[in-house]
Amino acid sequence: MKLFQAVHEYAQNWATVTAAHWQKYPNDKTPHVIHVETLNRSVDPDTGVLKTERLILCRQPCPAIIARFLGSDDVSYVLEYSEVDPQHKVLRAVSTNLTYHNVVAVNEELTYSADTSQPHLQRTQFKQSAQITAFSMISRISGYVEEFCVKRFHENAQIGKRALEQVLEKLDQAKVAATSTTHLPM
Amino acid sequence: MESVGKECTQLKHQYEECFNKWYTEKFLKGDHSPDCQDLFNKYRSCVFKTLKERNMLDTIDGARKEIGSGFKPQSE
Repeated sequence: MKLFQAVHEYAQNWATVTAAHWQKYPNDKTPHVIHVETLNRSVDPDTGVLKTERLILCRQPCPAIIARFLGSDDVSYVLEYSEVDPQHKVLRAVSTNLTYHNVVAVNEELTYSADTSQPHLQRTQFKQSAQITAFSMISRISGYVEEFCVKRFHENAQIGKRALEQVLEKLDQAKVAATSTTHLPM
Repeated sequence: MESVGKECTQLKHQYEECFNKWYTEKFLKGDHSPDCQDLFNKYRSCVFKTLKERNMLDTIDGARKEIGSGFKPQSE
């Protein structure tokens, strides 16, 4: 088993960053993400937490090399469950791969939370972690698959950050446009 | 972005436009009353039909437990 962890801080407030999270795809930085479908969504009436379940379809799955061995197509399915707690300003999403799950399991967790250490700055903390476990009788192969996946995961994490930043820029521009329209002289 | 079921794409776009507006303008401001339920139900049943044709529903149900999903198996 291998672990991957990363942290990042976004300069935008939590509301903007989480709005961007839902609008991240399609994104020219992430052409490997081909479909994102919302399967279930509801607000918990007691807690006010928004629960969402999404199915994400990607090309070039983490274990692309395995796909080649198996001779199957290169589309992989990922199931994601997330909860948005607007009161505590936390969005947490966990996901796992459905495709080749018995060969290698990639369990990922993301959290976007308001940075409470410097509340006046209204910044957003992003934490990402993944647990990658390959199942093989031969440990050398498991090790290789895990290394391969961690490397690919690291690359995709960088791309994912740039993709979200691109959406944030678009949202900022839309906000500026809306503000300047409001302030136009009559 | 197209939906996994091509015929669901328009429904997906309509729903997502509604959701993104609701999320920013209502949900984050404390108003939890649903706005997009009809659009979601139409889009969702279209996607589930496609996933059923691809024999994906059992696999999805199986993974729910692993990620601690707050949704129960409810294959349509």
